[in-house]
Amino acid sequence: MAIPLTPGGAAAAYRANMAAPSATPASIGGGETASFGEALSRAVQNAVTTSREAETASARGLTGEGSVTDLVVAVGRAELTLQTAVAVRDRVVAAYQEVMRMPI
Amino acid sequence: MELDRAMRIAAAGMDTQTSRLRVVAENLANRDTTSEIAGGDPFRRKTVTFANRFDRALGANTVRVARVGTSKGDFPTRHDPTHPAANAQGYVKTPNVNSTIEVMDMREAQRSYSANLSVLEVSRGMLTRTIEAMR
Repeated sequence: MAIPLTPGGAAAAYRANMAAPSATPASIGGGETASFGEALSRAVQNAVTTSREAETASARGLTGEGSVTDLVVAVGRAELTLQTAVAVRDRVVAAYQEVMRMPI
Repeated sequence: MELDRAMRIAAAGMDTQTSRLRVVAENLANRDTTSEIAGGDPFRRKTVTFANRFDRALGANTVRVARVGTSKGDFPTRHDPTHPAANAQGYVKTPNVNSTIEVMDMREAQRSYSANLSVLEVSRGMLTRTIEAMR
């Protein structure tokens, strides 16, 4: 899912960012051919990874290993990621319904 | 993301203050620790120094514990010939820990921790409010 760490990959990510300067992170932009669906699936993948991290951190926190601050940051990030995902989903669904309501 | 970075930097600050509190706890707990051998040195006060570190993954400067060292300075002595750690003249060396200084250090650690926690809370609040703007 990540862009390969090569000069070519970096250049592609840079081009993608230049082409779409609307605050699209390189990890979502991917390449010039990345469709909206791909970008969305990458974002969801990122969200899943973040929540997995939070899960591991909370398991460590409950067993007494690891620091409490790590746990707080990981859980906070997961919560914010989930909120973002839910907000984006709501907007996408609303846009879809808007299109479906259009009289043909 | 900048706010995410702020959260991580604050978390690093909280971690270092935790280490500082740990050192203060060691000093206070060993306030009365004398030597196990006659005429030997007692517990020496530990000090903690902080350093600025550039975190490459984060792309920002965070704080970390540079070194846990020991405090120079003379040991106060007390005349107590019956003590097992007393030297030939009957004096016992006591640790160079000053409870008042340790307690003030503890307060400072607490305040710094709270300040970093506030940064964490504020950045999280800002992120939440921004996400709510999407709804």
